[in-house]
Amino acid sequence: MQNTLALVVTTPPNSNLTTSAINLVHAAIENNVKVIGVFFYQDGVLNAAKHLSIPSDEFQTLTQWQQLNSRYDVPLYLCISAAEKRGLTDELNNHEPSSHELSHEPSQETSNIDSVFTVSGLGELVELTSKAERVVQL
Amino acid sequence: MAMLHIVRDSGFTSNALAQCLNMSLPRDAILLMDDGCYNLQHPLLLAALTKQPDISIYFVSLHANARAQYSEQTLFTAITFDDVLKLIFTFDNSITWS
Amino acid sequence: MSDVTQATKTVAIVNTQAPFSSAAGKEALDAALIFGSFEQAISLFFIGDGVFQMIGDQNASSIAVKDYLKTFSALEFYDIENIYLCKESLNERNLPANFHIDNIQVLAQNEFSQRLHSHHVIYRF
Repeated sequence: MQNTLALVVTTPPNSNLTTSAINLVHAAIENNVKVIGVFFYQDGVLNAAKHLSIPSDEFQTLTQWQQLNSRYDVPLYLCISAAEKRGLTDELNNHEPSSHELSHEPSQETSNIDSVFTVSGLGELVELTSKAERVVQL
Repeated sequence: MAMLHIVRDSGFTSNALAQCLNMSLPRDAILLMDDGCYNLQHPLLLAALTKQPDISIYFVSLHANARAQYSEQTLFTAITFDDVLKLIFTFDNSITWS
Repeated sequence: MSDVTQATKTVAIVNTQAPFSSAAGKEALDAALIFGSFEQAISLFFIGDGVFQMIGDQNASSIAVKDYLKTFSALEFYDIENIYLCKESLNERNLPANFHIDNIQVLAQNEFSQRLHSHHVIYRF
């Protein structure tokens, strides 16, 4: 039986603490532990910011999450209520355009959340908590 | 249940280390990660070695070396991320102090 | 949500921060209420500056904070009855046992720690 692990990430992408969380996921994959999900809560939700621009000679947190998702199928769950409070949304065009915006080309973008993240709620944390053999908060 | 205490802050700036030590019971272990490695020489942690001799103390060697933090304590065990993962499954539960 | 199993695991939410300057306390309570609404076995712990969340006579609105402390009274509707507060943390801060909700259990450090150890998953805020 394969061991299962869920991770709760509460640190922002520009913190080296988040690098440690990524390292732990890599260690899990290398040791045949199944990571059933990473849940992003508190300031951790900022990891999902699509337009985050980190200088190319610095650690690329978002690229790392993208690879963990696409290459190793690690599900990344974003707490949308915590995310919205920090400026992240998947409903960018769901409001009446202001006069200021009308004077420009309408934006085609509907979300500033990177697509590898699954928009979800705290119910997902309940589910991960109940299903994983071990849960670690980083 | 035996608990793994993950300490990620310096005890010189926050009370994470002090709280962790207050909450630890004999079969627990303390894991120093990230800035938690600055606690390798912290008086509270060294005092815990005599007060709570049953407690195991680990530190992520990668994180300690990066910070030029070392310890002569033979009771502190330097470990890798693979070992961190093993600890997570060895202990019944974990708490993260940061 | 598909198949969250019936409360086979006990979950502890540990509060270590004062209520207003950071969102930690509110986000911890949000999480607790969701666990409660899914009928999970959840306990709340207050230690260190976390005890400042529970003392009575606070006036959040005067400093433009939404008074999330009032939401603590909703815990009983979700059958969240295990609310523990560390006695040493109260004493250290010279606080009387005057709280804004009723069913708080003040425990000495060792017993507080024993209770905490009995939970399967622990989230600290």
